[in-house]
Amino acid sequence: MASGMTPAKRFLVRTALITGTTLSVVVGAQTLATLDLQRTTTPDTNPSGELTVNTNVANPAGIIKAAPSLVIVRHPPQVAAAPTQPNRPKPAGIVAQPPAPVAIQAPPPVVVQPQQSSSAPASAPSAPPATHSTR
Amino acid sequence: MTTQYVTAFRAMGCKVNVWLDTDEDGQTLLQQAPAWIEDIEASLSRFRPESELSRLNQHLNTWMPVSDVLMDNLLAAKQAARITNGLYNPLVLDALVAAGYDRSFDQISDSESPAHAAPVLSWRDIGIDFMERRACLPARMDLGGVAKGWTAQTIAERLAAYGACLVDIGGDIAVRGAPANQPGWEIQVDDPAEPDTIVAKVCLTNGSIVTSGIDYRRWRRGGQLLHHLIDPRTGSPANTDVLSVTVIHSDASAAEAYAKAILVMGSQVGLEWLQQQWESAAMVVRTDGMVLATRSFTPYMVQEGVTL
Repeated sequence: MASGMTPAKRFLVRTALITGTTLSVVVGAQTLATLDLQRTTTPDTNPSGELTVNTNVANPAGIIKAAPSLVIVRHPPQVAAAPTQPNRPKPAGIVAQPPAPVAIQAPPPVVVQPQQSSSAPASAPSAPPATHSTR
Repeated sequence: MTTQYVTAFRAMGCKVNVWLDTDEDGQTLLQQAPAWIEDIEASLSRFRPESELSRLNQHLNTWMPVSDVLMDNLLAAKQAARITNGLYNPLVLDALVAAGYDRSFDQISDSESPAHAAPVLSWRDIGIDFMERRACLPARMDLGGVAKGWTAQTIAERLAAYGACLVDIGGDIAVRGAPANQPGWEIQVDDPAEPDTIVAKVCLTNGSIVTSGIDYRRWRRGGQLLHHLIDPRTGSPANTDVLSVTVIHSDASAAEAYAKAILVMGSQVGLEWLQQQWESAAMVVRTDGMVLATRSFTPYMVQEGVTL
């Protein structure tokens, strides 16, 4: 400390040092936080606006992760995209069935299947379970 | 010794398949399934003038007694509306009729006369008095959005007392347990754009998987292609980039509601919203053929005997 400084001057110098240091820390932290925010919120898109895909993700199932939170299971086909409004008529071969009778006259056939094993799939008389829109 | 039984028939206007792994008399058990479903359909079908739901729809703004089956479905429908903030809304019957779905789907034919939108009232105005077993509707209701899943789940719970089972009602599936020597029920997710191909295969042990889509139940009015999934905000069939959506959830009615909500919201917004819902997983097939899924869906997917 320089000689000749009064206690009051010493106090003022110390206060200025502490205040300046504190302000520097705060401003610096805010700047860093802003930079971090910019880095995380900038969308990971190419100029055309499409989602980019990190193809370097090791994935034995062939599923490629899409940023930020969804998974792309299948990309759109390379051929012309399907119209926004599907324009297909009812699939051929679907026969309009009459409504089921109110009084069930006879129970439907129940097929007995051989016990399934992990290696040999059962020979199911009907298609395996499948989910789809109601039909 | 456990034996697997399977039966197939039509009910609720769609194909029904039931699988049961049991060491009891599976044949007798499964032969009761059509009657079980018929009892439920007799209460819930809007296409039957004598059904309970039709009577309720004919006496709007009037408290009417309801059976346990209808009460459970009304509660499920109102809860479904609540968890989707109204994006699923059972009070869409007038909108469905206005769009052309005024009879069972196999009786609909294309028409040159244009369709029109109809406003959908708030689901909050559905009156349910659980203690007195009565309900009061402010507008006509269609339970097609939750009834198939509820029915599949109800039948599955009934059969679960006898063994592992899978109940499939028009593609809405409820499972209990796993078949013998299998980690779970393997279920294909059909590709709505390509007949006889699949988008994915999943393995499920307990819970439900349902699919809603605009690829099948559709018709033309005034040259415009319409479908049965109403956006309650517009009173018209939803118009987004979703061709079909598949949801996995422990509760079938919730799965159905979430599927409708995602379809109404669109693929990106819908799936990201779904990821925030409890214990839910979903996959969307978009109209451009792209398939997106939530991260929570991939653990269910099966590839060549490997569960991911």
